[in-house]
Amino acid sequence: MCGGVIVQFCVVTYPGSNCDRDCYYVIGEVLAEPVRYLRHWAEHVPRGTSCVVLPGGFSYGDYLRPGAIAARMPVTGAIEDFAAGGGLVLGICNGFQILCEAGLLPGSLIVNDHLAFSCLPVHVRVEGDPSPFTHSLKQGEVLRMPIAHRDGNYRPPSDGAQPQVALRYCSPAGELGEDYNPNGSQYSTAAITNERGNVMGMMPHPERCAESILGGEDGMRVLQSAVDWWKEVGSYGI
Amino acid sequence: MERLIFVLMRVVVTLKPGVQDPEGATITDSLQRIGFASVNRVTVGRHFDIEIPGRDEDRIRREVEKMCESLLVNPVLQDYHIERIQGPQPAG
Repeated sequence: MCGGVIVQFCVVTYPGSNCDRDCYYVIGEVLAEPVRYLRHWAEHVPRGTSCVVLPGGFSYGDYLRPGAIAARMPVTGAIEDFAAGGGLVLGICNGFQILCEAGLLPGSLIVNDHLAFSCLPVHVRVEGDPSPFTHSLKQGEVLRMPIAHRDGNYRPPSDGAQPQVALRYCSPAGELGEDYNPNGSQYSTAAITNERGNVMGMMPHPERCAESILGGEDGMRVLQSAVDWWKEVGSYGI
Repeated sequence: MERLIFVLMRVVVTLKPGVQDPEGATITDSLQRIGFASVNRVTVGRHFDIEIPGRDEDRIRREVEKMCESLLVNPVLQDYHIERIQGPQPAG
C-alpha cells in the first residue's frame, strides 16, 4: 500500500538559520526523500508538500526573543495555513521557538535555568499522545539525541492548559528527574505537539544523530516516523 | 521650513508574576553575595524607546500598543506598559 507515495519535505531557511543544510542533507541523502529549501520571503508552501521542517540556528540573531522575528515573516504565515490544512510541521530547536512565538504551539521557551548554553547528548522518553512524529516509536521508548541551546526551558501557557508532550528528558533507563533535565523545562518537556498532533516542536536535534558514523541514528527514527505516518495515513487526508 | 514633530514613547516590558526568571534569580544571588544583603528579589525586564512623527499622542499610543501586541511582547510570559518620554516636540 505504501509504494509510490511521495513524501515531499521543505526545509525553511531564515536569515540566521544554521542547521538548514544538515536537515536538507539528512532528509535527501539519509532518509532519501525529496527535499527543497523554502526561503523566509515565500508566501506559500509549495503544492504537494507533506512536511515542513523549521531548522535550528539563530534566526534574526535571536534579537528581541528567540524566534520572535522569524515568527512574523511571510513564510511562517504560509506554514500556519499549511498546518491548518493538515500538513506536517517539525520545528527543531530554534524552529521550536519560532513555532511557539507564532502561536502554532502553546507556551514558550525561556533561558535555561542555569543560564548557560548546553551542548550535550541527552536521553528522551517517548510519551503517549499520538503524533505522526512518534508514529513508529513505542511509548516509553528511550532515544539519545544531542541538544545545543541556551533557551530551551519550556514553560506552558499561563492559562494552565497542559500541552501534549511528545518527548521528555530522562535517564538512559527512562526515569524522569531533575538530574536528567538539562534546562529546567517544566515536567522535563523536550518536545510537544499541537492538539491535532501534526505540528511538533523539539529541542533535541534529530538531524545531528541520523548516521552511526556521527554517534547515533535515533534522530532518524523521528524523521522516519513522519514518513511512515504519511505513507500509511497522511496521504489519504487527515 | 517646517520641522518634523516627534513623540518619544517608552515601552517597558516585564515578566508576568510567577514566571520563572533565572536571570533575575542569578542577579539577586550575586548582589547578596557581594554584600547587598538587603536585596530581596530582582526581576529583569527591558525597554524600547520608539520615536514616531506626529502630534496626536492618543493615536501614537494606540499605534505603539499594536506594536506591542504584534511583536514586542510575548503575552505568554510578559506584561508591558507605555510611558511618554518626550514630545510632541521637534526632532533632536
